[in-house]
Amino acid sequence: MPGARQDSSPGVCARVREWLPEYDYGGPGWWRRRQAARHLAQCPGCARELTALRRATALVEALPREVAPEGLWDRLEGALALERARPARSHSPRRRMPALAAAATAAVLAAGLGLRAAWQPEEPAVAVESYVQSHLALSRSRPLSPGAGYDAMVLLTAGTSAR
Amino acid sequence: MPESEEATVRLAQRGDREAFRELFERHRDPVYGYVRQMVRDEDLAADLTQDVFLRAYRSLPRLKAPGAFRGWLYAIAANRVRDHWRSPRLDALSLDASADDGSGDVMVADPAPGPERVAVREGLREAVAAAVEKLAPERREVVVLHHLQGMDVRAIAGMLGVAEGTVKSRLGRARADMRRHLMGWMEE
Repeated sequence: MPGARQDSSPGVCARVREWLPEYDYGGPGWWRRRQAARHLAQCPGCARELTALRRATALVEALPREVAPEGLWDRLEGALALERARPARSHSPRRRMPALAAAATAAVLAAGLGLRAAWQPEEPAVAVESYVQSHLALSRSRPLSPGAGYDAMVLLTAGTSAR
Repeated sequence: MPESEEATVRLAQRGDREAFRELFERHRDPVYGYVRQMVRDEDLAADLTQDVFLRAYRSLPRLKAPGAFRGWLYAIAANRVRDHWRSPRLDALSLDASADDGSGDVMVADPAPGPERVAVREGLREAVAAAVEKLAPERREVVVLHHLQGMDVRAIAGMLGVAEGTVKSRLGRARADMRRHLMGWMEE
C-alpha cells in the first residue's frame, strides 16, 4: 500500500513528532491532526512517543495537591479589618475629589487674599532652627536656664516684627 | 461552578462576610497550590495567596458575572504572580524549594514499596516538581492551570487574555519540555 509506506517514512515521522506535543490539546489544526491520527495508527514509534508525552504530564497530574497553611483566614481577616477601617477616612475618593479640591482651592485663595495677615500677630514666624541656635548661644552663660529660651524668643520675635 | 456558589458570590458581593469566607475556604487550597507552583516558596505563596483574596474582596462588587468567579479569581492570582515576577524581589530562592517533605504518592506502580522503591518514588516526585519548575513561566502557568487545576483550554485563554491556539501551543511545548526533562525516569 503506497500510502502506508509514505506515512511511515522518516520524514513523515519527524513532521508528525513536531505536532504530537499539541495533539491532545486540540492542536495543531484539523488537517495536521488528521494526518497525525492516520500516521499514529500505523507507526508504533510515533505512538510510543505520544505515550511518553502523555506520561510526562500524567506525572505532573499525580503531584500531591498543595494545602494552604493554617491561619491564612485569620491573616486575611486582619487585612480585611484594615481594609474596612481605611475607607472610613477616605471614602469613595473619586466622588469626593471635586469637593475636596474646591475646598482646598478656596482655602488657598482665602489665605492669599489677606487672612494670612490676620494670623501673623498670633503666630509669629519664628524659624525653629533660628530659635534653637539663639537659645544655644544665649544659654552658654546660663546653661539650662529657662530664661535663655525666653530671651531667644523675645529676640527673634522682635527681629521678625522689625522686618 | 455549582449553582450554590453563584448564590454565595452574590451574597459576598453584597458584603456578606460569611459568604466571602465560604468562597475563601472553597478556593484557598487550589489558589495556594497554583501560586505555590508558580513561585516555589511556601511563605511567599501564602503571602501572595492572602493578597489574591484581598484583591478579590476589593473587586468583588464589580464582578459582573458571578458565575465566572473561579476563572476571575485565578486571573487575579495570575496577575498577582506576574506582579511579583516583575518586582525587583525576584530572586533565586525557588531553586532549592522543590525539596519539601510532603508525602504524596506520585507513581504507585508497586503496591508494596520497599525502602528503595520509596526512595525512587520520592526521587521521581522531586524530579517532576523540578521539571515543572524548569518550565518557562508562561508554559508553567498553563501546565499548572490545565493539569493541576483542571481548567480547560478555553477557560485558560479567557483568563489569561490570549488566543486558545496560544494556550495549546504553550501546553504542547511544555509537554515536550517535561518529556525531555523526565526522560531518564520514563525509560522502560
